[in-house]
Amino acid sequence: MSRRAMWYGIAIALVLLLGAAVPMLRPIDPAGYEDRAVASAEGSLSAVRTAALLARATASGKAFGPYGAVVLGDAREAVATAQRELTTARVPDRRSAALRDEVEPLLAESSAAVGDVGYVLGTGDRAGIDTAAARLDRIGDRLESFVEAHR
Amino acid sequence: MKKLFAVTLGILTAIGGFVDIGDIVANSQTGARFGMRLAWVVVLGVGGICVYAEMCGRVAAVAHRGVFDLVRERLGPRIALVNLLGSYAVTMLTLTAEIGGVALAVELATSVNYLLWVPIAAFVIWVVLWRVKFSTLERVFGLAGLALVIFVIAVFRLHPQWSVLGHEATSFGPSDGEEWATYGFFAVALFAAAMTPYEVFFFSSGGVEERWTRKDLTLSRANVFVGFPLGGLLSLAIMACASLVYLPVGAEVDTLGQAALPTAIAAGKLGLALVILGFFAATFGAALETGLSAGYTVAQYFGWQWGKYVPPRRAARFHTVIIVSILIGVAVLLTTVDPIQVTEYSLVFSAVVLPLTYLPILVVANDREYLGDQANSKVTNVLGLAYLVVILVVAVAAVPLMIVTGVGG
Repeated sequence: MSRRAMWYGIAIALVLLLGAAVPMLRPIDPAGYEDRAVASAEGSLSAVRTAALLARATASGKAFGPYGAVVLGDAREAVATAQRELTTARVPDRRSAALRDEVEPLLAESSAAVGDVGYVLGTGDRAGIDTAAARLDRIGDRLESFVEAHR
Repeated sequence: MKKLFAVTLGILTAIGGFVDIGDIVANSQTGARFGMRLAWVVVLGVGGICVYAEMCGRVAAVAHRGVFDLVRERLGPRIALVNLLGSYAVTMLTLTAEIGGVALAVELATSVNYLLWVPIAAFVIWVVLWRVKFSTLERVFGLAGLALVIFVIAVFRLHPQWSVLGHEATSFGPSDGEEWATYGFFAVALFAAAMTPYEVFFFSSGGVEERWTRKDLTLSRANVFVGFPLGGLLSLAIMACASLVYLPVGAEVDTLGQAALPTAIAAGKLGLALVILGFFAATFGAALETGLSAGYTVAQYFGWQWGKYVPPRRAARFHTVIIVSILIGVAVLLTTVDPIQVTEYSLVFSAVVLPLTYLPILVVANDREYLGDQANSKVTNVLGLAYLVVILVVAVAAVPLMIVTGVGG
């Protein structure tokens, strides 16, 4: 490889690196905040739906304990990540603040509902599991409506 | 009868060994987001790996040398070094993802955090690579990987509307609410998952390890043209399961536990146990293959003694590369980086280096000095060149799509 080719290579790599870095360095604008709110809702939606599917599978005797514990742990982590990513974003304007006020309660409810499924599954109470799964379904529907409205 | 048994065993091993963490993750994520709309990419990718793996098998059987060995000799040390750097880096990333996959599979069975399993998994992988015969390790984990057939059974037990699956599979373009860029990103990931570079290094060097001769060309072709497509069917079944369970409820798949859930819903605890066994076997087997491939690429480039057909003492540098590669993988995983994210990045960068892997294979497989009358036919060259164009497009598109979509969004 010639010296000139090497410098061209380095220059191209730097341009690509800068190209990738610019979007990360720019302050978040209202559209970016909305995207982040939607992404948080989507992350939480996946966790809530997975927890509901798992709850029903466990109630029917189709999943065993250690597996369920791992899947629910992942779901709790996903909701926590969604909450953290929204909370750590700077709110750029009033409309974005309203958006935050709309989605944050949903994320908090998701966190509580996914957390509650863990101990309900531990009791083996079929009616309790059905109630927990139905609660997850309702929260999931609201998250889905939010995503649809803002995508 | 003995030959038929060997061919059948080879095919079964190829089926079970086809799927790895990249296939599991990419197919599950794609199924959940796009249904079967990207099934064509799996078919395209399987076709590509068949075309090039057949060339590698031919090179091993006729020239009795690994592809990297010939790449350096044929293309010179400088070009071969670029090839080596790209291929080794991606194989390293894939090895890291596979070790993480083994740990995640054990976590699903025990609920003990995967990070505690990472060093143990790596140690066991190293012991197996050090002590177990090549043919044994290839067959045991290839055959155990057949447990993933549970995904095919699960598709039937989920009672799909076949017309809907068929309609999705024949539709081109993203589903409602998804963007073309995301569709393109997952297409790249799926293609890279099917054509991961280590697969051809392993196939080619494995042929030399098993001392293939011209007589084994039938076995090699049966593995490639029957085993790989059937392995591709497993990938499509994983995609279909995710599509049937997650797409209707709008959920995405980000974990190995989620990828397993459709089999639990369809086939209960037995299905779940089988799928976890399948995940373990697929990732463990792929970790062995990537570990060996890391050693093969480096040792063949530098002309060191390599392979498991010689005692470790005679291939000390080859085994040292394997050990160092495993240790690097463990160190990366112990930073607590998510193994699924490592998998996603390994697929993107696999896509980037695909031309570095496949172009030299095409060149070597055309060389009559090495292959004589077994050099590529015109048909093989047309197919090889057509796939090379696709590979180039995928390689160029991979990083921009990764940046635009934020690794798939």
